[in-house]
Amino acid sequence: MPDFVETRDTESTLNEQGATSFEQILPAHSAAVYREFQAGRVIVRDVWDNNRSELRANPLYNLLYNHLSHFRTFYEHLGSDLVFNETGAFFFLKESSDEESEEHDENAFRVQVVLLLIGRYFARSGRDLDYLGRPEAGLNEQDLANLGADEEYQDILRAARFERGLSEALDYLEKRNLLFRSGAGRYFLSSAGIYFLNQLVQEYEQS
Amino acid sequence: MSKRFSTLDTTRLLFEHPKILFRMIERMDRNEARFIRESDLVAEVMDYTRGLGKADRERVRLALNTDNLFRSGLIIDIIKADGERRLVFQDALINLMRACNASLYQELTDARLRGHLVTLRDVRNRLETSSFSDADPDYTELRDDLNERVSQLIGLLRQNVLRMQTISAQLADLSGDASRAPEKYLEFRQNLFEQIVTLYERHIKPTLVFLNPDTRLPDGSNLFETLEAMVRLLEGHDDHSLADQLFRSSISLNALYKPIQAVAQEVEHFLRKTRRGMAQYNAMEHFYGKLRTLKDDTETLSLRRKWLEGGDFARSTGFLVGLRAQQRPKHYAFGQSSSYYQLLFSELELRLSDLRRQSEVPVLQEVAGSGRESRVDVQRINQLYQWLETLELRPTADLVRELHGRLDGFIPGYRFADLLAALNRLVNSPPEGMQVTTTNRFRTLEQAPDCEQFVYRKRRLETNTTDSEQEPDHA
Repeated sequence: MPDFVETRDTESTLNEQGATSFEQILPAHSAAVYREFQAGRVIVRDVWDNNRSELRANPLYNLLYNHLSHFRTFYEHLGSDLVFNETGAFFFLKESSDEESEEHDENAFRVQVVLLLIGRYFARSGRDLDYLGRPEAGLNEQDLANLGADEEYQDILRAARFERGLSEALDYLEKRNLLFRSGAGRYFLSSAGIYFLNQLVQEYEQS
Repeated sequence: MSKRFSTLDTTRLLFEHPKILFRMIERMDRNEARFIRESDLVAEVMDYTRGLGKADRERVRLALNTDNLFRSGLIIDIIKADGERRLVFQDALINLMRACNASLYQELTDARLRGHLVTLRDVRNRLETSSFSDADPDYTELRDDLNERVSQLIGLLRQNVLRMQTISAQLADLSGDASRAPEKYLEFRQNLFEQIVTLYERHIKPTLVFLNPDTRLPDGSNLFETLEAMVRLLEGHDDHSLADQLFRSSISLNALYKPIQAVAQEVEHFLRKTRRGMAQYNAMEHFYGKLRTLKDDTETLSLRRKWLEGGDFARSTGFLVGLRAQQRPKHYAFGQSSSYYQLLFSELELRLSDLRRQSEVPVLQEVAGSGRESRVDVQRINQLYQWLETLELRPTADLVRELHGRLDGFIPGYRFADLLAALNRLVNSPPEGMQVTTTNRFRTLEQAPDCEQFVYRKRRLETNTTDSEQEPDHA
């Protein structure tokens, strides 16, 4: 509609901008981001590369980061909030509903329970929580055995609907990119997972 | 008690058995007093000499007798107060003793450092009005005073650095122990923490500030400015030897800054680590405690409380609240093939025929609860069966979903239980010319108000003739 463009100059530039923000992103990449969110995952800056056994930059994170306002608007139109946490270097998609239903918080709570159990266990063993987030440190086989042997932890996990206990809980976190499995019987937290524990410490210090 | 020792011999004996005075000085410092109680000294001497041979015991007891110490000039004063005798030892002796044991160094506090600075400033002020003549006894006295003050200060600071260095090593040892013995970790850490904080806040930081040439003080010049001013004054009056000496002293003082800074950094790092670790530990315990109370709630007698109710907990931390798997939008299977339209029209026709019979739609009684009478059940089912008798169905790949679609929202009071009954009926007596095939695929249906779910095996409704023309997949 070239005539239209000529007569309504300002609007056309607006339209063009709107169009370019979509044009800058490959549909395949955007769809990949969408699939991650659909699976209830958190998109973190660095993900564990199993083949090379090292953390590598997550292209999806960079995509979101570079086109933040585009994706914000995009997901707003889909009825969700795109939440960006800079300190923890992660994104997640939040249902933007006003209702404070129990179900609404269920996922968040289950994630928090598992992370807290891990954090508490780790702090009690006299180690700095920072080590939980390092691929070369983290939880080892012995730690997992100790965690699994604690009756109280098992009770709490079961009451948080992890009927199969620790392994299910760890899978739950891993599926959501809050935890990575760096080898047989070895896990470490992603930046998002560590962020939660640090946040607890900070909150405690300020209270 | 006629036997007496000379001052030299007494001193020699004191240094041969230094533990006695070490302990007395420790006690003195603890009480922040400038004297030693005679009773304490006697008790300490008796206690210490018990382990000695007869001759030695006799000798030490004699030497450390108050009378002997006083006469030899090592005790300079005896004060009687509060019904006890207080002994004031000579400063030189005490300081020498301190020099022999690093742990007895008195830390330089802010107040003491300031005291030194004020005296130096005072000397400078006097120097300004001084005659600078070697013949003037006031001036020579001032020079001596200045020399003494500066060397005293250097000595003090040097001692202090030594002391700080030994204590940080000591602390490292302690913390090493702590990490090796986890059960005592907390106790260790608590002690450690207190010690380090005191050391750092009260001694190291003030010393650093005192020795920093860039420090600005609200009440006047800092140490180096004071010294520099004096150097300039002396140079101006041609007393170069003293000026040089003072200049060298200021360089020595400046050089002390580095080691203290190193100690400060080490301690600060240590402090932060410990403090951080402690905060982490306590924070984890704090929030775990909250979780535990939630868990205790599930352990009440109520059988229904099986799960943790973490809504409040989750919201209070706010982490990932609202995170959930998003459902993919459902596809609508629009098609353009003739079979698609055929199916669409046949479905519309069936629905229309339903609507035409709307007057006959049975109203199923609401299911009140578990206590309802069986008579009602029978009545409901019969009503439903009558409706089904006359219900027209088309061949479909998913009979259950089809039935549900035809009943839900159309027959008032319809529940999943009714669907089950209806299915039962259709499986046992299918409509004429049709047959029901039960597959091993499972599907789930949901009903809106209470989100009830019905998991069922997919059933196909087929015409008895095998050459079915219809494409059932779009149902």
